[in-house]
Amino acid sequence: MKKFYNSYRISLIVTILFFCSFSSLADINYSEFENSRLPEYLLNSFANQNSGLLVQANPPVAVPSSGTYTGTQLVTLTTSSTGASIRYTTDDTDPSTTLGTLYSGPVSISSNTVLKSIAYGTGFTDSPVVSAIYIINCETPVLSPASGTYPTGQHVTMSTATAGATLYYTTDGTQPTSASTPYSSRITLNSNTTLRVVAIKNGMGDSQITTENYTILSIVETPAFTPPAGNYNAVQNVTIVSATLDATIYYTIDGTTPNSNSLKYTGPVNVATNLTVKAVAMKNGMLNSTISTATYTIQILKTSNPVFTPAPGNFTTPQSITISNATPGSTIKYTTDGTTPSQTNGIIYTIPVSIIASANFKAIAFNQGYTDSDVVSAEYKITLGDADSDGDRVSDNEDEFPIDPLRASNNLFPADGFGSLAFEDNWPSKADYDMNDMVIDYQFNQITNAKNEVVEIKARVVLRANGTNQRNGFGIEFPVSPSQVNSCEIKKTDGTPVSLGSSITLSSNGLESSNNPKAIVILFDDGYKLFPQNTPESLINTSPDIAWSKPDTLYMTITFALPVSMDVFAKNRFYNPFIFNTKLRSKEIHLPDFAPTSLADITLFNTGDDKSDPSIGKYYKTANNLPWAINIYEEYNYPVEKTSIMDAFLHFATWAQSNGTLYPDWYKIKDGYIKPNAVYIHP
Amino acid sequence: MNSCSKDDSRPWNAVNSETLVAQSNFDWNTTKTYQLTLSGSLSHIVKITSAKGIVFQKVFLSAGTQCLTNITLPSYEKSVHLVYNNKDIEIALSGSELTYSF
Repeated sequence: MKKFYNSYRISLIVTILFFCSFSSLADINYSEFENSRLPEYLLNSFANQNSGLLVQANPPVAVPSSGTYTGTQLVTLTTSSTGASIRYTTDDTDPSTTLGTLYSGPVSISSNTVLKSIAYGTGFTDSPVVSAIYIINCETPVLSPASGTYPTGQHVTMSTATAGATLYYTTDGTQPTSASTPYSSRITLNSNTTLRVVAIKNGMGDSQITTENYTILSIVETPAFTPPAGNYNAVQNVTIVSATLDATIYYTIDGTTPNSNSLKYTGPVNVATNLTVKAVAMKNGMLNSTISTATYTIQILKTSNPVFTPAPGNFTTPQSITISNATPGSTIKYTTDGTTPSQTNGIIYTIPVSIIASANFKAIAFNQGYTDSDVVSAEYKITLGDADSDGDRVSDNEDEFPIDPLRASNNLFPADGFGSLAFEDNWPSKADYDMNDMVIDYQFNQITNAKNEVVEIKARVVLRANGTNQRNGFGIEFPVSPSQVNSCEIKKTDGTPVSLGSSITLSSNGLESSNNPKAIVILFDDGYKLFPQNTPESLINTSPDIAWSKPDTLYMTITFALPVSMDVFAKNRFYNPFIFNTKLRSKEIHLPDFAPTSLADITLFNTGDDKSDPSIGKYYKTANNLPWAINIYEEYNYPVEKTSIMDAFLHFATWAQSNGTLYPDWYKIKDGYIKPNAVYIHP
Repeated sequence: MNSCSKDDSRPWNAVNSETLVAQSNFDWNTTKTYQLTLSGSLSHIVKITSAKGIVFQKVFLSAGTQCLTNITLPSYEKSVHLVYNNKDIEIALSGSELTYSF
């Protein structure tokens, strides 16, 4: 029929013929026409015919046509049949000439609707009922505020222009459905969130989904000051911290606002004067903290001066000096050597200081956060009188231990400095006789009580020369039984004990463990240990070509369980010293005519150059009665390496040959006594 | 041993360790020990000193008693001083036993 329509529209005659082929308009199959409507010119032709012929009204045309829309739609219904009326329904019933709403103007469609309409009128048969289907989606939700980056948490409201629609949302990025969270009131976002919202209402299509992304910046925690702002009497070390992990703190002390160009906080801020500290904490991805401010008022106090008790002055008895000050927590340092005490110089005062002789004290007190006190001097002039403070019957002015009833006198040997022991270590061979294989300086102190009994023996010992490549130790046998010794300590200058090798076993009282009837003290078992570590391991301090090496000084203290009669030590004051081979403890070398200990290997007697004869008390001497060791009352300047003692000391032989009558001071360094360059002189 | 090997090139002194002979009773020590007996009427410390005042030993002398002590001195000393109750007495070192009563 389209071909028909197109072919014949230009010919009225053909048109009439067309109509004549139908008995009425009802016989027309409208579907054969475009849009199920008769072409306008045909309808008008019919209308212009006489009234006896009825034509079917063209069905209404809805604009907008069927479809999916958002929001209310105003639908216009028109028919091309002039004079025809239109009725319509929206309840899915079919309209008719009497049913439905007479169309008079645009129909408002605000929800899903099937709009059915019909055209009718006089001279027309009714048009077919035509339907237009409208899907009306809910209005797209609107969120306020919209997506963005916000410095603080946000309250988000949601709305839709579709009345009665319910909003459903998700916060995890998933698509919202009616099973999602329904919106009832504003929601609060405190962290980064993606909100997706849909509006849903019965009878309407779901809205488009609104998606909004919110970035919520956190704020770095405000820096806090410790100690807090306030008034202080001492210098303060102010720490600044932010509770936000890894935040960086910047601060100012000049009142300006801190920023990232300000001082970076790395450690406590020393606040020594009035100061306002301002700080801000920063961290990437977070908002800067609020600025915190702390104002410090510093009124620094001075540490109170030391006070001496008793007050300085003249005394006739020993005094116990107490030093104190009024500032709690202070440290007091004092000197008695004339130097000025300071935080780095002097002795820390802990307990009262006993003085038995005149002394000049200087003391200073200091305290954290305070300025140091003045240096206070106190001069005590003590002239001990006849009083006997310790009740030992020795008056204070003669008692070297006036407040110790167990002690009265020091007795030094030698009386004025060191004596020396010199050994040849190749016994029983005589070797070069330079008497410098071991040169050991010593000074003993027998401390006696008021009964002239020995209560303690102290010693200072220095291995001054070690002109050998052997390893030797040094010991002393004391003329007391081991059980009489309460304790024996050997300490180095730094106060640490001397370490001994495995060849030496000590008893609980510090003596060498043995069956020897007399007490044996081992001061060291290897002389090399007493020199600095970089010292060459041979010929120490005996060759002018080798640098001097400073030996350590050892300090020995022997206390007795009970005081020992001085007569016990009458034979000599240097006891029975000896050296021994480090690797062979039994190889002892003693002074001439001094017996070995029970640990010595006496089978070596009468071997080599040795002609010892214990039966007559002859020990460690050659056939010519020459010794392997000598004891000199004064500090001995020994021969240089490989120079015989009798070559270096010009009167040594004469002294020996004269049986000690001539040149008893052969060892002194004076004109005519020594061969030039043959005696080792400490550089 | 290097340090103790013999050195036979000794041009200086005619006597050497091979030729030097000492008497069998020679005391190789450079000191001499004396026995000292002291007595006095007052209790005081007695200081035994050198002429230069170097104190060799101290003993407490109880009034009315005898004090026996040994002193070891440098062999070259010819005398010692006894300092007692503000007195200073020099005594010669003759023999091995010394006695003094204050």
